Amino acid sequence: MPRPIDTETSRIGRLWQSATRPATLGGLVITAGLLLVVIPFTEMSAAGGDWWTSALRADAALSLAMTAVAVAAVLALGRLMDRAHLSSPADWLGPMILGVGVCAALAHWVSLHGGIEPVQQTISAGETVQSFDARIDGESLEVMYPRRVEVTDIQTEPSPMAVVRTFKPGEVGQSRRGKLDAGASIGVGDFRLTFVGFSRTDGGLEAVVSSTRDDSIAASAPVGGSFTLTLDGDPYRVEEIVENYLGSVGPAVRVSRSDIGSTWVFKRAAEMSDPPAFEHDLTLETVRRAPAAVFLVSRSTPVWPINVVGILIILGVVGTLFFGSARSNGRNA
Amino acid sequence: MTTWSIVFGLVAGFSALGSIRAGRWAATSAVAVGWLGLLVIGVGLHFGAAGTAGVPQWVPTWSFQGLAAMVAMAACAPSAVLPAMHGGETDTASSVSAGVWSILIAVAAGVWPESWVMGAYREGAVLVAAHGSALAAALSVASAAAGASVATWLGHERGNADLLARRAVVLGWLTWPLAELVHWRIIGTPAVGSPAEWFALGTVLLATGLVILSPRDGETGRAQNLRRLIPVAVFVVLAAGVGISLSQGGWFGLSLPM
Repeated sequence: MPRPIDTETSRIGRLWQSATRPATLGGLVITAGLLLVVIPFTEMSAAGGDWWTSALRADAALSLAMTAVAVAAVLALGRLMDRAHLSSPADWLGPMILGVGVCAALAHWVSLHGGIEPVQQTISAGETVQSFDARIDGESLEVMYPRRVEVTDIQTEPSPMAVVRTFKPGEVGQSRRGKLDAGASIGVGDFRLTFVGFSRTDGGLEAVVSSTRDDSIAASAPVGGSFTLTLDGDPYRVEEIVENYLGSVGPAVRVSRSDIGSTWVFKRAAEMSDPPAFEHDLTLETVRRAPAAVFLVSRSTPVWPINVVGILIILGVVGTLFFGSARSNGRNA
Repeated sequence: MTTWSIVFGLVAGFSALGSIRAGRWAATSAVAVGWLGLLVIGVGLHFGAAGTAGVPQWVPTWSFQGLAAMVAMAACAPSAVLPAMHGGETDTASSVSAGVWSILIAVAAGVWPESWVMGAYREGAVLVAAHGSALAAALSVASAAAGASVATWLGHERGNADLLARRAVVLGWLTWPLAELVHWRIIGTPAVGSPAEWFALGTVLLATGLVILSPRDGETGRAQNLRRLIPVAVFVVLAAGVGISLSQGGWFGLSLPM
């Protein structure tokens, strides 16, 4: 005699009721939350990164947490369908949209894990790079850019700006240039370089030079750069900068110009009461670290997922606060 | 940016006026003063870290302008608390609107063409202010929920603790798309996957799970009575999340050095 079908249905029903209880849903979400909260403290010290800018990779824990959230989302949807007839759509529509938005946000965040992690790269003015030191799944790897990247100029005042040029080797004439304000980006193949700040610790040396002539101004330039001290003067080219010439003379810069050839200018000479006679009228005021541009290198990602996530969550928040169960008390759908 | 600060300041002012007229000036003042204090601490942390070796030298004006907007908008945050504090739901709709819509306006400003707010970085600064405001609103609501929960547990008439806790979590989730937009506008990628992001998502998920565990209407018993203190746990989780993030030298959920 076969067992009545309704008994079996009832057993499944009880299982379903148990699975869609708030205690089950809350437990799954709390489990996911605990994993995400704890992992940074257990894994960060091992990875050696910092709290804000280093990518944290813990795929096993992430998979577990996201599985718990996904299961909770499916069960919550089932619970909602079971109980939708008990309340008006205004009560559950906002929370449902918010839930979908949260799941979309988590899915988008997880999709950004894996592959090449975002890293910072410092490039000095005049420097050209063709690769960056990437981290893939915790391993360091040099990744080539499809085009060479040159920072042709850096401006700190009145507003920060980096002028960047990208080109393929042998095709300098077809280079692309971009004037990047702080926070602006330039695409290089599948990568996106965003100008995020300056560093004075990683930049190359630059010399600040002035002249004893009355109509002159001080100017600075890095190695390879040039400067002019008077309106009608020919430019000097900086060939070498040293912080301590021969280990004892102090800061010095070697400059060249067609009329004087190549010559050294010493800072100490300007400080002497009876300086030796030189063929030039230059004075080295100081040698300092030039500001280098700091870029965040990341994979190019489309912007539409951000818009979708943002719209869903904002609609969900508005729907929940103004129309849903969080609008008034006593409604526990 | 100054214009935006004035706009948000006016919104905050009208919100506060509405609250005072409704006889809730004490609550408004208490929460606003508390949050302004936290902002002062945030400013101190920011400038304390400036110039540290290895930290990129961020645009100095960013902090001033961003924090100016944040101060103006944080004043809106208490308005999100007010509607349910005394059980009145309909007469304070305008102050809820002021708090929430100020956040939405800032979001709109963040995705507006660059010419409006002079560059990607300053758009990011506006969004940081919006993020801070949403977080301030969430924590303010959570603190009110905790208070109402304790009052209920001590035997007073049941208040709006569960409702406020739900609102706190909803506002907490609003911080995430704002964080993605901040990252997009300042560092060019929506997320880095940093410990700060892991921790922030985990904190809000924990609070969400706790809210789901809140007792249903009509449930009784010892366990259910204990669960009536869940709003306190929600507040503790959110506040601890923000506090631990600050102690790590970063803002809650943002992959940016302060």
